[in-house]
Amino acid sequence: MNDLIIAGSISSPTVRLDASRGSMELAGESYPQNAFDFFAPIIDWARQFLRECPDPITLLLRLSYLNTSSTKCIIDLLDLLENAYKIGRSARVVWYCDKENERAREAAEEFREDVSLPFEIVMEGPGQ
Amino acid sequence: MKGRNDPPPPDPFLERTREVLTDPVYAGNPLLEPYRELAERYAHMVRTFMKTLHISDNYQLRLKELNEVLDEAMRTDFLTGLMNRRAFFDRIKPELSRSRRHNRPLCILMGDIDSFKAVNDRYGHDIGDKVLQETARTFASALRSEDLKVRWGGEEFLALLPETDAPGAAAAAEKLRSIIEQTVFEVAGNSICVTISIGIAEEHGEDAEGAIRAADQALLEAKRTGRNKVVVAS
Repeated sequence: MNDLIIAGSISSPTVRLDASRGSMELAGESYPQNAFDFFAPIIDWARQFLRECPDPITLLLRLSYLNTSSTKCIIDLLDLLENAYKIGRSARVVWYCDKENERAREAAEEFREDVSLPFEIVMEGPGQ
Repeated sequence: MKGRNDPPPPDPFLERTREVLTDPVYAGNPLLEPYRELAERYAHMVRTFMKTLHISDNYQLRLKELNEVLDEAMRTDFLTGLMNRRAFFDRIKPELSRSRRHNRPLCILMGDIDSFKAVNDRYGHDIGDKVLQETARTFASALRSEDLKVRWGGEEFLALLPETDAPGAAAAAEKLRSIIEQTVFEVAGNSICVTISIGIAEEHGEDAEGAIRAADQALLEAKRTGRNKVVVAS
């Protein structure tokens, strides 16, 4: 299974999906012109990984701003992992937020709601 | 955050559908299987929709807060914390209208630190900036809270004094001039004294630009005739 790397832009996050490590990293701001188009290959990659690789999967998010469509796509991605977790797969989420930004933590907590898989919120200083 | 744990709004249609689907008469009917799945998908979509809205609202609130911070920064002089010119021009119009409506005078006070270049040349710009900050602090605290205090440019300060005629403004300016003259700024081990020249113009709600020009002329006159003094435009 291939890795998927998408270079970040001003309006879309850097994406690093690493099959050998089972890690999905998204970092940056997300308000692309069409979030559903942008996230489709990412969600497909996660589906394929869950289908073909028995290894644990980790979603690492460092997203400082999400528009509404991107928010929906991240919820879909979390649903996918949550469903896998519920049938016994090892899946977890780490959400990094800027410790100066209280609202980012509130948003992360809202994403964590109704989700039973391990979901860690890490507050970090700028530039880490 | 408020509203985060709000239950989804009641949905009589979904409740009715679930009742039918769990009714013993129909429960075992394989024809109902797609409807059961549809009902569950629908319930899930509603939950996702509500969650998306909550999170999106949160991001919008954050943007709103950032806008307010930016708005404040846009109106403030970064070095001194006084208002900047943009903020001044936003505020001058309503002040002029009020002055005109109530037929009350207002004054423009323009002050400039004397020989400030010598401070920069002697101590360097870092210390020069500290002297500017200290002078701005003194300038702000010597005037009334309702006066608008502006860093007009380099070492030049402007104040708009509502409800004040020229003699009143001259008294305030003289007090300010005297305080600055008597203050010793302790900056990085240096004791620095500066003086300020001040020009004043009275205005009756007609012409802000004209009043600023007149105050500036009076300031030049104060500089020309010896500095460290107050001149009222005639």
